[in-house]
Amino acid sequence: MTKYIGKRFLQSIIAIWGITLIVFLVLNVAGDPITLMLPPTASFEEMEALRQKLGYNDPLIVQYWRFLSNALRGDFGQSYNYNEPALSVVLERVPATVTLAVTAFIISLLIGIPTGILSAVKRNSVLDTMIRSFALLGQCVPAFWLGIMLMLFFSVKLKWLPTSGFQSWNALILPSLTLGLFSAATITRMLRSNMIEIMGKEYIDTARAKGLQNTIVIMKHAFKNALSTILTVMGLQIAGLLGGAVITETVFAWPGIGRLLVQSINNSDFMVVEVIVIIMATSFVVVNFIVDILYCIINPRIKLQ
Amino acid sequence: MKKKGFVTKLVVAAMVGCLAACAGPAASETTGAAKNTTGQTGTETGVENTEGQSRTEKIITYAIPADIGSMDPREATNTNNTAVVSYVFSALVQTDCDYQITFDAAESYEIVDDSTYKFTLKKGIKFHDGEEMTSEDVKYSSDTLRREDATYRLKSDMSFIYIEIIDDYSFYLKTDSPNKSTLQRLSNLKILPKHYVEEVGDEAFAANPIGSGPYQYVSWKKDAYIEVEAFDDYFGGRSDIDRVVCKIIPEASSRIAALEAGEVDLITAVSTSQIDRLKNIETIDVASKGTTRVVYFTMNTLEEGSPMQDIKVRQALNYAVDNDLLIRGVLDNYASPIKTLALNFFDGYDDDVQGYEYNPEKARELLAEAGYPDGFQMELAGAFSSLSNGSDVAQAVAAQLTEVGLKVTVLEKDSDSVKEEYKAGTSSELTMTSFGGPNNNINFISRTVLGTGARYSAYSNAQLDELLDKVDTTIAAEESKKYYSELQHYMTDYAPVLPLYQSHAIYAYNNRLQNWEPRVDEMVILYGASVAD
Repeated sequence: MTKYIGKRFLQSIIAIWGITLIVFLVLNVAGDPITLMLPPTASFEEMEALRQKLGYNDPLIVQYWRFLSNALRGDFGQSYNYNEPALSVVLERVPATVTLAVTAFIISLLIGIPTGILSAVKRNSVLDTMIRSFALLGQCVPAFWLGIMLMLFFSVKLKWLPTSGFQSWNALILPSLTLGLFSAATITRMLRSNMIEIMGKEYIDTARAKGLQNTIVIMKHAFKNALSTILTVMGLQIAGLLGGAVITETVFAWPGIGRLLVQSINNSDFMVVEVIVIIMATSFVVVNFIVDILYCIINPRIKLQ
Repeated sequence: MKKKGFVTKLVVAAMVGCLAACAGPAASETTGAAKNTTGQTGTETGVENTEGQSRTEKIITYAIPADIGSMDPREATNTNNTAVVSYVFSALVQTDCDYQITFDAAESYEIVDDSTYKFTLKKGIKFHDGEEMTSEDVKYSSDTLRREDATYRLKSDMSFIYIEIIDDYSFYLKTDSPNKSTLQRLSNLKILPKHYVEEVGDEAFAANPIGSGPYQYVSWKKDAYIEVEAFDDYFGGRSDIDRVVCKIIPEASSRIAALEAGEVDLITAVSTSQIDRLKNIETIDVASKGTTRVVYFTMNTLEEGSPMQDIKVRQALNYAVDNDLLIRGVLDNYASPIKTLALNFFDGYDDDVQGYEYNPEKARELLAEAGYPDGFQMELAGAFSSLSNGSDVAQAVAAQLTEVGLKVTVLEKDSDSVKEEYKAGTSSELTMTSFGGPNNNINFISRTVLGTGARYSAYSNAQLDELLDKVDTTIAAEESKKYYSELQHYMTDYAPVLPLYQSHAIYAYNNRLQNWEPRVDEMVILYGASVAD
């Protein structure tokens, strides 16, 4: 077990490093921070001088090495737009994204799990059809449309909730609903299909034959086993949510890292983009790592070779 | 578990219901009074006026599409940032909403020679901490931008200016070499309080800026809003609006939703498709105004053997485009025709200059004369999505060019690639581009658009370069006017570019905002406006 954990840990580190390298290379090919730093009336000579001064003319490998060694010391360079360390610009906005992501995830569980179970247990009933339709809609409807529709209805028409921003706690409702609905739909559908598969298995019949209450059969045996198979999906959902929910944050003017990412890409604010991508990649890798470990614990028979 | 699931759902529904109720008017007023900020209009916050009677505080909130980078005016180079900074800081001169230069902190100036102005400062201008402004502050503001080791973004724009003090309220403003755009650029040279900046340093200054503008800085919540409040001792008279909140909302539909919900009072960059709907709402007014933004095509004359090098081809393209149709059909008349790149309110505009009228027969004739009776293959490119209706305009122009026999490929490129191409001289035959904001004028055009090697130029001609130099360095009014005229005639005669139209900006606002006139440079500066009670 320890050997397995150790191996996975090493793989995770390599994955994160690989991503920083790729992002660094791609960013240096597409976009020019010097254009951002100087007003449009600056001449090419001035731009060249600044480029030279900041080391953008050095060979890529030198630039990358400089970046990596600084990063390991916690120095991710300067945000050109804000004139502050890139890391602090990003970290300022992480709490907002985490709040949104966690709330969205909780909503997706609160909606997804009960509907998934209900749908499986009451297979082919009217309720099942309704749930499946909503789940399909939930996966097909684009986030920006859903967000704006919710905003128009609840904020403009009913005036119950604020349209955007994060100035009060009720502002959390619409964006986390928008973000959470897609995940909820995914969980519903996966849980449903997994449970149907499991409930068709022999050990379920055995449990029923033993005289166990139906509820216990469903929850203790069927659901628990189904849970482990959708664990990976749930893990990916969290990581994706943490990734910044770019569209939702833009629509709702949510002050998180997703919105910062879009803004920084538009501004060629290289260092901030690097930091955000590293955070996103790391959260993916970490969550996957945790999911793999949990897998082992929940189901000791499954140990990946 | 089924029961549990049901109960859970009930709980969630109840929670949502409770939170929604909290968003009702009662709670928001309490929040408003406690924080004084909310961005909700008509908040019942008491304010004492000079007679000691309390009245409702007048707050105007407007939505901006992106956060600013800094409150330090020396770092403000984009229109968004410059506008916000203008609430807190004064400059020697400013432009009014119709682009005419007006006096701000300066009382008067005279031209001493080609590189020297003598300025007199208004007396009794107070900074927000009560200190009076003197020539020392002006000199300091200029000096910091001129220092060798300064890294402020505005440095390259302003470092050609230096100040020699005469006395507390007068000084010479000199330039390294004659530069016609000095006066207009001065609106960006914000006057900093020397005593304060020297005492607290740049970082603390940016965190708590003090200026002499009509509003003083209150707070900046990153990615959320910037808040300023009226300065009682403003030398131009205290603003009628007590507090301005600039709320950051990046998505256009969200801005409109916020306006309709009453969360903001003013939004900019409204798309033409929303106008009718917004006009029908009782509390909302829509205003549009011609801006300093000019949309046009550069023609790449730098590639050897390219048809664009032939003046007849360039003239043909100018004749082939029906600008009026573009304005009527694609832009719903929210644009105005232009003859050259100079707009009619620019200093030095020459009314005598004729542009190119729509004449497709003439276009075909000229193409044939140039040796292209069957047209030729060409690219029409640009960063279309950065302009409203950009793709539609591009497609319409491509269709018109096809009519006269050209084979046109339309390509969308991102703005960084376009800039790189200008630099390398490899831009497409036609590249759509635009200029606007508070710095556009004939000198800006001459410096960036037409000269050899200029930042956004795809044209090169030695004689023109000489003329451009004269345009940039002639200060005397009469002589300068002559050169401005010559340049505009050149733009028509030699067709170095293909002008399309002047953009209009569309604003929508809550009609409790009164006496507000949009500016042609698209900056929103809410001084001089008032709030209906």
